[in-house]
Amino acid sequence: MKIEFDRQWCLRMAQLELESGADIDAGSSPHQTQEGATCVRIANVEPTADSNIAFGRFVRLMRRHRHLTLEKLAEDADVEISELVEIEDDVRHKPEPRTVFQLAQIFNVSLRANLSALLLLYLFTCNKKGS
Amino acid sequence: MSEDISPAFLLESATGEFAPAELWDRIGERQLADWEDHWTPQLLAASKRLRDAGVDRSQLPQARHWNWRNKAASAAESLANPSFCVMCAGQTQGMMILNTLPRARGLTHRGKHLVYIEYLESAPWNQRSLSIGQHRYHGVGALLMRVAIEFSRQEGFKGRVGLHSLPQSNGWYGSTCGMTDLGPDRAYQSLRYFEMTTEQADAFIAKGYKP
Repeated sequence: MKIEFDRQWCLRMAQLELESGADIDAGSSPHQTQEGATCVRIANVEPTADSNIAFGRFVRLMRRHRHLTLEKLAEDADVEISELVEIEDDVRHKPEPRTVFQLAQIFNVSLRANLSALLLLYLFTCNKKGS
Repeated sequence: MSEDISPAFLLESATGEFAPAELWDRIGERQLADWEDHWTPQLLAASKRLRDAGVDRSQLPQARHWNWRNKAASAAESLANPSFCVMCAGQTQGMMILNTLPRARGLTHRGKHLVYIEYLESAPWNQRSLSIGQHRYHGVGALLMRVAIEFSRQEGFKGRVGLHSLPQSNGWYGSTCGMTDLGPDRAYQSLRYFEMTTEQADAFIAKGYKP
């Protein structure tokens, strides 16, 4: 990613940073949590939406990684575009098992690998919520 | 793997002049070598000085425990964790890892996508609280915050940014960056959680153009 930084902007903001008298560090401190990003990510989202967010973000990232539009992915996977939109943007949406299977085919993810684990986790979560 | 490099500028304390800098869109071996060879020894020495001066352990710089090699390796394996750094005078002046998975917490935009700043640290010689001689460069934090905003916009998240500030940085994020302080977060060692809305992101960038 390239960004055009204006010289005057940099100077003005550097002066503001100087005047603030503060440091700029941000992030969790691992001597009080466990080192590693996973626990950070999980702690920062609503617990009830974890599996939905994980699945939605997985689909979105894989789609973008392959430079696919929502329309193209819906067409290739033979699923409704409205469901894809909800998968990516609505943490309350529960995708159909067929949709998950179709997406696994498109993304060429082995059902013995990541997505199957994700699917099982997802189905388990849905089942648990429904019971 | 090659990096995109954007020209930028920092303010050099000693001269009060511009120093040409660069924003790299990846933390690589060169930055990690700087962290191991230059950052860590100075950070540990500064921590020892503070301890010897009677400063309570809880007040020591928390980032002294951060292992950037592990963090960069973990980020490199994930599409959701882009990393950036600021280079100046041949050395790494600041590093940052983002996370695009978390959602916003603020009432006005709760549940929407944002870019979460997972880790952001400036070189020890740029940290005021460490008192390592003269503060060398100003502007690293502004550049990296601008990057987080631009990345958020690029992802379609409209400039929304979130982060947990270390205690010595609360003033920067709350007052100068204009982020909303959502208070201490018990899940994050009671660090204060800050969020930037689309409007606040616009205002932050506009600050740099005001006389």
